[in-house]
Amino acid sequence: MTAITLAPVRKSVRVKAAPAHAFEVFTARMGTWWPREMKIVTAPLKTVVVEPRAGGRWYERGEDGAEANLGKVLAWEPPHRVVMSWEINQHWRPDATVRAEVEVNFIADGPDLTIVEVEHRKLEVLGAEAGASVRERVDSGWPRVLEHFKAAVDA
Amino acid sequence: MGALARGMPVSRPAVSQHLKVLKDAGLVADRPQGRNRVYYLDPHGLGALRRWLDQFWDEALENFRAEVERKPRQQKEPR
Repeated sequence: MTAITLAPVRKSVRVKAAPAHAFEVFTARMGTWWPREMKIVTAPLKTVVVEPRAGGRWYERGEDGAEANLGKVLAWEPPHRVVMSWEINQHWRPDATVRAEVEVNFIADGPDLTIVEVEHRKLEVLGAEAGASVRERVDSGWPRVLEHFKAAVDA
Repeated sequence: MGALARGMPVSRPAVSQHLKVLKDAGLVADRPQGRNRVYYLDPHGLGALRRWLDQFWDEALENFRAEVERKPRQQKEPR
């Protein structure tokens, strides 16, 4: 069987803030911007925590106090770089056998400007069963989620 | 793609459209090779998952930018 590799998802956003502030919001305040619909816990999402150290946990906490692991902190280099493992499978459940990675770099681009680059890679480890269930989500679920986002952001 | 189209009783643009549908469904993926595009089967639908994450990060980073640029007194404390 031929091994399939997937190109990493690469995104960047330019924000009006120094790298230290951007890093702080990205990590310590992840719960303020993480899309509410993208949750694993059953209860409404309360926050998303990135423990500020290599080896730290990355997890969600629901309003009911239940926690769900997203991954681990692999590299902690404030205010320039953070790398986390993404241990979520194609069914959007915690799965320690999945070791995709999210690397985030914070690059100063002048006074109080930072380019934040996200690379979500090793996506092929998400598993060999990603077919039907994921396609179903993409086709039917995601547009609805986006509408909710827009409503919330525009409100 | 040209090789595929030659074997079909339909036009090259029609083949291109069909390939696009298959690609959107995550059933095939493609890559450039010289002046051509080579299509290959994506039996695990991982392409669809990748597109989903691609959109996820678009939304997440837009939320993130808004939060970073919010005035300090307006910033939401994690509850």
